[in-house]
Amino acid sequence: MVFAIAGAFFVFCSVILISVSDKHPDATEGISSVPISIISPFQDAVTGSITFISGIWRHYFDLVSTAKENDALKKMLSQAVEKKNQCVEIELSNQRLRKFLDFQKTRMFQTVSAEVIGKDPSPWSKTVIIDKGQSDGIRKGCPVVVPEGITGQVVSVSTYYSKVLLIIDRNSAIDALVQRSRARGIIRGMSSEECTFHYVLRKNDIRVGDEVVSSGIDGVYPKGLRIGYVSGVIRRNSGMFQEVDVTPHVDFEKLEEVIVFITPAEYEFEMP
Amino acid sequence: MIPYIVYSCICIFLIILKTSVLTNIALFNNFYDILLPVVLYLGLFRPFSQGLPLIFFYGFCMDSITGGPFGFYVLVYFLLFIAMRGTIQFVHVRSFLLKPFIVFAGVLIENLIFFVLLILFHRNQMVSGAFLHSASIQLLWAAITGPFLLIMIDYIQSRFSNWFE
Repeated sequence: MVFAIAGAFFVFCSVILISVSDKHPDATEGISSVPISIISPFQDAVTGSITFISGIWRHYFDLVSTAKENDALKKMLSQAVEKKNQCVEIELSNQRLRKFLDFQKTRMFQTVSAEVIGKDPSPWSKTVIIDKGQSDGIRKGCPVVVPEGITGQVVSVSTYYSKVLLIIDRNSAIDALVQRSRARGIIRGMSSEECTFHYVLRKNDIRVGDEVVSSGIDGVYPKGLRIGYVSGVIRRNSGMFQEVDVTPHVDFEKLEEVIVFITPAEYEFEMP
Repeated sequence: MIPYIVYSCICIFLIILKTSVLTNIALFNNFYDILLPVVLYLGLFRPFSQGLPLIFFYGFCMDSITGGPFGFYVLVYFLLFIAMRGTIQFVHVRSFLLKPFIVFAGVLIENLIFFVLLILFHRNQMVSGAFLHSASIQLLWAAITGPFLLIMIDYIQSRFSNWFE
């Protein structure tokens, strides 16, 4: 009888705890960083070993296609150099115009590159563990990106490791806009490979293939970072909003290295 | 003390296996919770006083590593542990006929609890097809690999019992 009452009490307390931590994930951050600190060094060692072995395979046994790849890369490099020159020109003209209009200088971000050493063991949530933590300047809430687009944000930090909530997790939300039509909404994860674009007004013009970027309003992600492209639009006869599916640019299955934006403490203003 | 250390090491080993090895292989993308067979084994075949602290430890580790709400795994493991303690009162679980269904049933219950909590706390979110797809693949994996994992844990347990008793 005592065991039954204790068990029922425990279940009740657990449901309360789940409810609280679901609404306020910060509440359990302190205790949850302890197992991360213990397990992550092993994850780091295992991932390092796997990367080392696969690196040997790629570098020493896969030389057959290297020459062809080298030629292709050289061609791409020359194109990239040309593109870079164009970008430098555009940047210079942009600076001149900003000065002319007396615009506020955009935020300057410091970045830290990190390696993914572990993925979420649960099939329902989408997080990864990276090998950089507080000692590298990472703080909770820092945005995490890869060259293809936004990856997620740091939700838990220990001294040398951090947990990153991916944008495809159902607890993730990003204030975003469609690049072409500037329609605004919230990108939410679905714990699958796709996201949904919520609260997009029915009157807004959205087409399949449109680019979706961060709006910068949420205060987490800088404005203009690529998120994904519109892969489906359902505009019903009734209702205020339309249903929009977004496919992220990032391939979360092949995530190996990421860049963490270390948010600066203050804005820098350009003197008139 | 030895069994606690052994089962804690098994826990850490399985978490690393799942997070750093299996998740990098596309075939195992929707593999079920790998600690589940150990939790079920502790509930079915180990003393209550030995199993209970271990399942709390397992739940705590999983809750810390995953991105879900804290307390979910502690609750699931506790409920499964209690369910297994109840089951051994009525059925002979060492039977070869029942072994294939133990992990399958555990994965099914775990998914159902998640489903219930999702409805309780996220009423505005629809249960997507991805969830059902993930659950069905997990059940398939559980049906194929579950009995072998239970036999393996039983083997490890018997080896350690021979060495230390």
